[in-house]
Amino acid sequence: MSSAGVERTAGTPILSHPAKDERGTLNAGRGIFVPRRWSLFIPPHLLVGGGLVGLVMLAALLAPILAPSPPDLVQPALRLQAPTPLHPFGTDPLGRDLFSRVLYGARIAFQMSALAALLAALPGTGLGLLAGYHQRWLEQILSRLMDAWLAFPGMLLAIVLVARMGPSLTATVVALGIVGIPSYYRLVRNGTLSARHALYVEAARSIGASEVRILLRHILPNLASPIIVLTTLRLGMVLLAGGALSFIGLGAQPPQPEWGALLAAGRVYMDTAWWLALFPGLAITAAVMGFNLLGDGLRDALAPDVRSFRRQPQPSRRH
Amino acid sequence: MLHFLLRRLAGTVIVLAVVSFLTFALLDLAPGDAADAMVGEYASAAQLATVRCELGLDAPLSSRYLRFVSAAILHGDLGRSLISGRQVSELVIERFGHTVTLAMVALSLSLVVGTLTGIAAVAKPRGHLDLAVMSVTTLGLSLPTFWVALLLIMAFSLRLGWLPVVGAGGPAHLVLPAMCLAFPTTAMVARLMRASLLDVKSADYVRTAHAKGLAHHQVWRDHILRNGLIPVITLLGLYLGRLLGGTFIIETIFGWPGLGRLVVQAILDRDFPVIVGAVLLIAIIYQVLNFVVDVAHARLDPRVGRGAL
Repeated sequence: MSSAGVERTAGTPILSHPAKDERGTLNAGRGIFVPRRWSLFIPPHLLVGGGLVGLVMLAALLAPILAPSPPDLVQPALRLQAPTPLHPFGTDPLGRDLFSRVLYGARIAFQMSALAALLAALPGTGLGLLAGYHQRWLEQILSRLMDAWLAFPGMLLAIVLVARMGPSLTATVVALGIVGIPSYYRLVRNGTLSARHALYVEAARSIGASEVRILLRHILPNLASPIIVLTTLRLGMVLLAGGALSFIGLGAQPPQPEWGALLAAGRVYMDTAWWLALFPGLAITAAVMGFNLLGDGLRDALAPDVRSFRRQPQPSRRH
Repeated sequence: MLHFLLRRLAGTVIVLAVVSFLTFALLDLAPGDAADAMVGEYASAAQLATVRCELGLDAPLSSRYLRFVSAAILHGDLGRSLISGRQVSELVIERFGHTVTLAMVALSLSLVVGTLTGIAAVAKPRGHLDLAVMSVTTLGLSLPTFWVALLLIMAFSLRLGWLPVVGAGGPAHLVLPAMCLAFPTTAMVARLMRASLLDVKSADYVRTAHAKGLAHHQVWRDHILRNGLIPVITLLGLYLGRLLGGTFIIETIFGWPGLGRLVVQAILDRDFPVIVGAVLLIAIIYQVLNFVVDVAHARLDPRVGRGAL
């Protein structure tokens, strides 16, 4: 089983069907795949994505232990120093250690993306379940509302919401959360619609389960996979958008070591202090790429119905 | 064709009405209004009330919204900036052209580069070039545009001195902002194009075209490309929103005097009339671009076209 054929499909887009492998070897689009005679095989998508996310998560958890100094410790004597073993990412104009600030930035990144995803997922999922199950006037109203919501560029809506609340990290989180609601709504509503007449729902209804119980104990668990996939992809998107808003001054405000804000602060010095413009950007890229790859990999593994599997070649026994 | 146009126009008007009302209502609820900003911090409550009354701010939201809409439609009057005191309509029109130019250049760039890259990748599926394209586009979708912009400024403007750092002027000013804005869209178009071509290439009608003896380039031009482009164009409508959203960031970084930068500055200044006006205009641009995409779609796909055009 060669892994070369596997790597080549890394990053296959949503719309593609897994391309036919000429040699008939394992098709990576399948995700976690257990060849008949082999042990568990994890495709590179999941491995790299999970690794990157794990790395950033470790940085966030262990920030107090790993950081050489507190993120806000001002040391004027050390201002604008290039990276050294003591300060691996260099120091900023106030002599603060950039490595420590980037580590603590990972905490903000996780809080921001997790909260925004939750703010989108909870109402979106709840409304989607209701609309999908009831399908009367409620469904009509909600669906028209969500369509109008989606007919509007997300960033523009986020900007209006930030304008309403005033620039801050909280405003960014709330805005990006609200912007994400329709995606969850659509996913869950469609899932509920198709599950409504499934055999297991009929069975639950026939033994007298209440509607709430059917929705929460039977339908929702069956939608867990696509919801997890959407959330993972959403986390990366929120990180990008949140960083961008902070960068232009509408998100996290200066003393906070949010990655986008760090880049904005380093921008003035980028001609002389390249490290200020490099490391926070690398951190964002690593985290976003981790979430994107993890989301793609999870989609292949958990929710294969998100893309079609026509022309799925059989794994060959030739080795 | 006329029917299609009318239906689209009606849809556009509804969306714009919703957008304008939401923006108006949301910003109206924000603490501090035009009267606060005009009289300053030390004014008495009575002075504030007088100014409020003069500006008509004491009327209920719905009637103020109706007055705003009728003034906007009848006189093109969007109110005045709280900071500079200038007419919002003037400010917005000044910036409008810059944003449209930037968006159109970025859109064309990502369409041309993305399509060609997708075609190149498909020439030999799973070849080295395909692998390279897929890796670069994966990276392209994860890289923050504002960071790419910083790095490009560092490289091309500061180190090499080839291109200007900020502002608008000649075509040289447009190069970096357009590239950065086009970056994620290009990656997306390339991936869509590749996926769609892979799909079309193995379709029955392509095999038939080959079998009846058409030349290779004829099959590609008339069958594969024409059909492969359809899903790309469809999805392009979705990515337009992302492209326009990117203008807020890109225009601010490059000091490009467009609507996006106007909005960001107005938010920092809490200059609500300017925000409402600029957001409305961006929504209009979005609707128009979407319309163009729909027409292109209908032209390309006879299944859509017969009914619509």
